[in-house]
Amino acid sequence: MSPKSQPVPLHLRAKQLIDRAGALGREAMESIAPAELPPGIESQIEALEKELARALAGAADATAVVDVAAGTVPDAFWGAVERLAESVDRDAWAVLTPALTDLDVVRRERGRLRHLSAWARALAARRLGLLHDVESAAGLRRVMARGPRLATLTAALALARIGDRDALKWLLDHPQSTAKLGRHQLVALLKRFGAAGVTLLGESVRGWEVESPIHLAAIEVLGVSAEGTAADPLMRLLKEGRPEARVAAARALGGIGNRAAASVLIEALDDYTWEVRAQAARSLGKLKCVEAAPRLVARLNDRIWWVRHHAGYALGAIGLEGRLALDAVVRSNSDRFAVDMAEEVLEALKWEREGGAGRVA
Amino acid sequence: MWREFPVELARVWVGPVLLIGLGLALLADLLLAAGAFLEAARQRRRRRLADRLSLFESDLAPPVSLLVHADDDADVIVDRVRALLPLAYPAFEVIVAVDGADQFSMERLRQAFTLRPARRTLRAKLPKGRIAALWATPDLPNLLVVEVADPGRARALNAALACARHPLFLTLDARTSLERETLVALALPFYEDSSVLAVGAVVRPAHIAALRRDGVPDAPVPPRQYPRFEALEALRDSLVHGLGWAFSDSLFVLPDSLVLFDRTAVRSAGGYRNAVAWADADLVMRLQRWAGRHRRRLAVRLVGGAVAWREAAPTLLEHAGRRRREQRGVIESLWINRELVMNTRFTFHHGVAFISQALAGLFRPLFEVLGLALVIWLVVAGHYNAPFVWMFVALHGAGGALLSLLALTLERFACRRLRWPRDLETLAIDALLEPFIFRPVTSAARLIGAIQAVWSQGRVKKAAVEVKASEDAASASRAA
Repeated sequence: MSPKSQPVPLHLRAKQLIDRAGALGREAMESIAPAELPPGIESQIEALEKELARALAGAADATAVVDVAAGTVPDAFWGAVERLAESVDRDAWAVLTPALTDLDVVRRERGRLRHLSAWARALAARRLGLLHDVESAAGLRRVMARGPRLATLTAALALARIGDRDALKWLLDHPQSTAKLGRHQLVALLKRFGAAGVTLLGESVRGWEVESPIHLAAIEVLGVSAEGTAADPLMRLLKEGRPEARVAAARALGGIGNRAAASVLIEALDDYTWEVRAQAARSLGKLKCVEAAPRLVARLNDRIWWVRHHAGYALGAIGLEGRLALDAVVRSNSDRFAVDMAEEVLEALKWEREGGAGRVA
Repeated sequence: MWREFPVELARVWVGPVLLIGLGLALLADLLLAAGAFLEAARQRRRRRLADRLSLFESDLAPPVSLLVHADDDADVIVDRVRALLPLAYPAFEVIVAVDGADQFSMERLRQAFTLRPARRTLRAKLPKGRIAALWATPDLPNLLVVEVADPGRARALNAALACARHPLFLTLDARTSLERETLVALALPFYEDSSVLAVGAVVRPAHIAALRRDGVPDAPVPPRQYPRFEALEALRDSLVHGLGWAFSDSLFVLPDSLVLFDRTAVRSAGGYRNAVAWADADLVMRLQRWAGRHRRRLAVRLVGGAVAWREAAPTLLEHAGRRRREQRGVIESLWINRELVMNTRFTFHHGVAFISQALAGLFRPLFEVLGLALVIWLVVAGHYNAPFVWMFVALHGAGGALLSLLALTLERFACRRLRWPRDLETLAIDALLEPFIFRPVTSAARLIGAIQAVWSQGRVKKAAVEVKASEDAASASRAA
């Protein structure tokens, strides 16, 4: 006969019940809203990250990395690659990662470039892009061409990392595929193609009508990269292009720094589009074009604040002649707006001389 | 007589109407919660693909103006400004607008940062004398202090906006603190999509003085009971309602108003209006109208991963006052912006969202307060077994608790700051108590706000006229 079991006190039963409910709740939460990384793989990520860092520092060879990588689960592998790829030296990373491209986990990702889901294709493109996987270029180009927008962008970024000129040509020839992306993002994408990409942009700019965001972004990249060969077509664009193209060209010419562009930019100070006038003034300041000072003074009376602002700060950037011109405006100009702007710039110059961080270009 | 009357009320028609109303409201909330989960999942997937590195490449991040409104904030203003200056973002400026009613903040700022009078030209027209003085220092070129002559939040923000240089701007008060990465999370949608006009963040209550260097509090769950209820309410409003409406592209009210705006779009919409009780809600609705007219999708968004912390209201009464003002502001803004439902280019999702938010704004607090009053009456009269009592407890209590639990789950999914499972257990118990202790007070405050909004017809009409005039002026200037 079994001994009669002791009745469990009520408070203990209540506690058991609460504990069980809590455990059930936690399980439910875990299945509805799982944590970003599955539990237990953090240590695998750290081990692989450590091995990759050692290889990058020259303390281990690629074989050791491959051995560790082969023993990790896919999430841990990609977790480690994500963490390192954006923060280490790009060239060293490009040398190390081809050794990883034969791993099963990478091959599986290449297969996912044909996945039905656009999200899966985009994620695969991003991951392969982090590895500088040249073998995936053809697959990535297919993803880029197939779309939708997010997949196109992610694949284009991956291809930009390996400097794929065909991908850049495709993007420039199919401007509608990137028409809804932000300008900043397009500039970042084009910059990712590196020096070879900039040369290609410089060669292609002659044939463009320049209407779409990617072409406008390309002009901006030419300016940021100071691509001297693009100066002539950009000057032509500033004279004859559509308003948006003229704005981009005026801005880029300042970045290129070719003084031959000064006369076209001075002419653009009278453009009927205020954005062109503002960017022309800004670029003349960057070129430190002394001859432009009288025309910049005239623009201090412009009805648009941005034009007055860029004209004033351009005069400040020109040097002594500009400063004297601003002083003269404060003394003798009857336009209150022009005087205010001149006073603002003179104060900024004074504060800059006192050792404060500069506001004047 | 008084013992039998509530039974009759609960049985004949008042009871069923209240229960049906609350049932529909709960159903709408559950649908929103489903949408919120889908939106959170969408944002999480996008986050995995986001090209954050490029955003930090010197000249590619869209520059941001941070507009801080200081009103009776002398005790915290210097620390808040110091906390903003090292934010992780490549290009931003801080503009502090010291309200005309605040006598001490200006002096504190002047001493702390050795400010001097500065000359800045204004980008927009302001009434003569609106700005008393501008202050800056050569050591911190991205800091400007605007001493505003007149009192009022909208006036101060418009003055700050006239001094702002950058294409995006964010308004915040001196008792709100951003996490180090918040600005990046808010700017990312602008960087990725050219159709975005405004992006909101999730604002949660915390003890601001105890934030870590990265802007995250050591203890995300407040130790005291009442701020914990406030934390639950904030999660419900931001995550369940905010993300839910964002999923259907119908976000009209961004909870607690921490919004990064596109300056040009705000200017086209006419800027901040003084005559509305909650200027931010009105502005967001006008931006939605503009987006509807121009067929722009997902122009107003809420990013679950962008988190800011705000000092909890010191007393329940003060919190109730804030809710009253917000409710009044929402209803006034909905009325002024009724074009959202009746515009020439009818957008179905905007229409549905408008009607449901208007109904919820007007009737939900009324039903909650009346229902609770009837339950108390029934219980006091000895009828605690009446079906109405149990059904009300199920709908209001269990339904409310369920929504709070869903908000906690969403927190884990969208913006995980709570320590699991310890914080969950504390807040789960609070979620059960909140509908009966905290919510009646906020519901009563919202009800008063709704009544005030209906009562103040003249003020609303004045605001509508003001909005119309500013929109006409904006269209005229665009045409010119």
